[in-house]
Parts: sequence; C-alpha cells; structure tokens
Amino acid sequence: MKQFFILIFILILTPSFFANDGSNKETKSKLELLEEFKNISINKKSEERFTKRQINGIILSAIVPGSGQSYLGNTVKGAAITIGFFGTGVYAMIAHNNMTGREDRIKVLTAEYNSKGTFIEAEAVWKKIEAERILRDEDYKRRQIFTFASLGVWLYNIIDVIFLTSDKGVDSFVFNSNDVKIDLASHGNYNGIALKLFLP
Amino acid sequence: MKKNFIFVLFFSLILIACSEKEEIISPTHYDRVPKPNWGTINVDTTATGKLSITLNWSVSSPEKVRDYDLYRAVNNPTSFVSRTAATSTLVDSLFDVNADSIRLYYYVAAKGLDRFVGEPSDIIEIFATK
Repeated sequence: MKQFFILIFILILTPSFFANDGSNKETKSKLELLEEFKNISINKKSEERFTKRQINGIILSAIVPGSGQSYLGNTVKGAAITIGFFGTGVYAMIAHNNMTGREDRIKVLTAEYNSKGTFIEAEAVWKKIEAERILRDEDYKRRQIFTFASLGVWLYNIIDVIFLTSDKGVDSFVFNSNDVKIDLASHGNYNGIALKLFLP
Repeated sequence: MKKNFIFVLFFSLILIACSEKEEIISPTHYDRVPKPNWGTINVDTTATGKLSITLNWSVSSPEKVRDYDLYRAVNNPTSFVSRTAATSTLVDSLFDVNADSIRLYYYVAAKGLDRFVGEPSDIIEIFATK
C-alpha cells in the first residue's frame, strides 16, 4: 500500500516540477497556445476562473478539507466534506490505535507463550494470540478502508474546490466592520476584566 | 512551494499511518514434544491379589523425549495422580482392589529434553474385575 501512496504522491508532484521547467519547448509551446486561446476567447469567465478568493479557497481546502468550499459560500457542501474527511480520518485513527494496542497485547502474549512449560498452558495462550491476531487483522483492514476513504474525500475536496465550486461572494455577516468594536477596558474602581462594546 | 509542502505533509502522515502489521510467531508447542499413542494394554492379577496393568505407548520421535508422566484416576476421571516413567512401558500394580470391580483411567504425556511437557495422550478407560 505504501508504494501506491508514493505513486500518487509522485503523480501529484510531477506536473508542478515540469511546469517549473522553462527549457521544455513542448510545454512552452502549449502554454503559448493557451495564452493565445485566452486572448481570442470570448468567454470572460475562463479568465476569471481563479480569483484570489478561489486560490485562498483551494489552499484552505488543501489544509482543512471543506473549509475552502465554506469560504467560497458553499457552507453545506463544505460542512459535509469536513465531516466526511474528519469522520473517516478519526475512524482510521481509532482503528490504527486499536491495531497497535492489539500488537502490544500480542507481544505480551508471545512472551507469556515462550515461558510456558506445558503443552496445555502453551495451547491456552496460543489460542489467545490467535484471537488477538484475528481482531488485529480486522482493525488493519478497517484502517486501510478508512484511510483510503479519507484520502478519497480529500482528493474529491480538492477537485471540487477547483472545478465544481463557484464563488458565491463575500458573506454579508463578516466581522470586518468598523461599526462594532471590542476592547478591554477598566472602569473607575472596578478591578477585573471588562468588555467594552462600541455599538453603532 | 507552499502547495508542495502541504502535499509532503499530507502524504507523510498517510505513509506513517500505513505501517504494515507485524507477523506473529509460528507455534512451536505442537511439534516440540511428540504426543504418545496408546499401544497394548494387559490387565492381570498378581500372586498377592493385586491388579497388574501393563501399559505400552509409543511416540513418533523418541529422541525428543526425556521421560514420561503417567496419570491415573480411579473411578473418577477428574482427579488424576501422576508418576514418572523412563520408558514407554509401565506396569501399574500399586493398589489393592477392595471392590469387586474398578474403573481406571490413564493418560500419558511425554516430557521433552528441556522438561517441556508435551501434548497428553487420549484418556483410556479400563474396567477390571476380581
């Protein structure tokens, strides 16, 4: 499975390395063609594809899946992606934690198994080892499934924020107004922390 | 650059989470000491009136065996007492029979060179009368 992730990792990084290579004539010519296409394009939306807000959204989504969608105004979709990512991620971590716990238990049982002096005692401990191994393997499978699911949600989130999420504009309810100010203040003989609000 | 850093971080975390499971040990207790199999069993009475039971058993690889523990129970197959036998033959005549008939239960376990007690044999039941 490691090789699979390394392959995906290389596949994702490779285009950015090629894009930085200015000596590649083929890439350059393609870029030139793209520029020409942009110049003759009537549809202005293609030029406005990646606004500053959308780039911010992509960066946010790369760090916290779903946050970019929420930032761009698609709050329900953003919340669903965030819950999906962290839900699968947390379950994968729980499965991983259970798996490591069971491996520790198997190590303890193995030491106990090696110290037993009779077949009957060794057989009893061996059955416990086998039972723990079965549970450990189930946790291992669960961890694999939910790690893949988490990765899938993350990848979908990136694709979604780049290609499928439209910018709905700045939310009117943002805390960037000068009408409301919050400040720490002291008042007369009052000893403590006071909150001073400058309401419009 | 920033994007690449995020990818490196993300995939590093996944690679750490994808550690392979550790293999468990192979069981050694199954073939460490061989399991005895019962051979011929003769029931007889001595001149003094005692029961004499000759028990024979065999193992697949005697070179792994140091000696044997023979377990015997009288009438009740739950409380066994043991005695050691150096070879795979033993004559048991250590008790008097007060009743007209008696039920005896035996099983034997081989002891390895490192004193590991191997898998016990099947329990046999002997019904003896005066």
